[in-house]
Amino acid sequence: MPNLLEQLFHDLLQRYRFLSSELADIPSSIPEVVTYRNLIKERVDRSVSIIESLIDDPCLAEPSLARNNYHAYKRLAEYAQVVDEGPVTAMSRFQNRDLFLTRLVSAMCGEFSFPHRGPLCSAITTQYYCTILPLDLLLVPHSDPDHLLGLPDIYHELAHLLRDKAFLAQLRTRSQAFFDDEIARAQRDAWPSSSVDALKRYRMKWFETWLIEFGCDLLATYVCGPAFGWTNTRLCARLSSSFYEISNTHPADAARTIAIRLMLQCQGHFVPAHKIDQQWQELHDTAAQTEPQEFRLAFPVALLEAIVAEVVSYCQSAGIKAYDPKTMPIARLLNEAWEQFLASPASFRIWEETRISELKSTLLPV
Amino acid sequence: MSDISALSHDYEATSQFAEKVNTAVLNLKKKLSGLQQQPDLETLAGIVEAVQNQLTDSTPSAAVPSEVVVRLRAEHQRQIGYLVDDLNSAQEALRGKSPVDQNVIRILDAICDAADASASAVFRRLRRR
Repeated sequence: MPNLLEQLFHDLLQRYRFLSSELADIPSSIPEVVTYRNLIKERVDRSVSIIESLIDDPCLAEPSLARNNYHAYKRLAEYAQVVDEGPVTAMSRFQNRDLFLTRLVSAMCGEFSFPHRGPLCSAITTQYYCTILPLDLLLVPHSDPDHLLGLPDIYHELAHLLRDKAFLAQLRTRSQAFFDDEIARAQRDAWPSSSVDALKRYRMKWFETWLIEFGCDLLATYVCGPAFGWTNTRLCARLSSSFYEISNTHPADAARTIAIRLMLQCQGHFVPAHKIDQQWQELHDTAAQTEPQEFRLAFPVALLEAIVAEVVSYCQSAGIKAYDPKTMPIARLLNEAWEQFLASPASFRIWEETRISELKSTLLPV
Repeated sequence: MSDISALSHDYEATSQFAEKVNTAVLNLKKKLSGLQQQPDLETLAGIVEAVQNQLTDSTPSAAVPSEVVVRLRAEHQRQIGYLVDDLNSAQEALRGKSPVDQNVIRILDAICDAADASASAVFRRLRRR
């Protein structure tokens, strides 16, 4: 009987070969899908070659190497699962609404000079808007390609795809220096050790995850303008359990809202920033939430302002364009949608359906 | 807004680290077993040094995913000083100052195990299992 690792790799090889054949069978009538399919198939076929050479390696059964070969197996197995659940599922069920979304996102990317390949998009997720990072796949809920008010969140997801290590390092340096100073000051002023420890925890959370989310929000606000602020408030109203909750993956919604307002003000959108702020206050009062004491410790306004400045500077250096209604028809439409909705929520759907229909006839010519 | 995009970042960083350290250790072991491999000892020494730095300094760093460091710390909580010493010795051996022996392999295996467990944990979190 072959040893365990050999069995596992043979099983995985069969899974990869199946995925490769599924990808080969995907109809090649849509250029966007073909380009993406070829990219993923190339990676899958590369994994097939790696597994074949591992199976052929006489060292596979060598006891001193078994654990490392097992670890290699796990990474390959995870990748197969990601490809299966993401690209293969999306492409094998690709519909007109997915193509519309993909082309809409591609047009958005063109408008602001997105410095990365446009993703394949699919309206097939139960997890709100999300990005499957190593595979450049953007997923949105089924209904969203037919509605305009949530689409600004696409800009946030596009920012996730950037993964510019130098930019992230720049943001991290900024937040780290800020908290290092705060910690030194707290120690000098003999703060209680629990408060100093809290500062150290926040420094770590900013470094690990919060900066990425703030960076994505701020880039989205920079390129989409006020519409992203309105969408953020709506999303908080829908999904937030507490506006001040500190999670491992996301900063508090209230802090994100402040950061978005700062970016809008920085870009000169003073009137909409003020209106969004008023709506936020109304939501805050309606939900009867209270700001906890440590909130300002975790999310100092001075640091948020510094991060806004870093994002603006990065966008300018990377050639990413700021929101301009004259040259960005899709971003302008999303802003107009919010203006229409706020002026007349009851009749908005009629206006929205007409705009969606016009967009579809432009992006999906018969 | 979804946790998926944030966790995708985590998974990418952790799995890439796990793959990098595992491949380097595998090549080193093959070399020690007399098989034809050219191990990248400098890369390994750099990883060991980064782990050591992150264990001894609470300042965040992107060189090693924090979950890997947390796992190593949890597994060696009572002997963290010995772990740091072992990491230092391993680093010196990988830089040619002493022989690469079984003690070095043991410490490299510990890093591989922590990296593998971290990548698997983030992957499971992505699936909410």
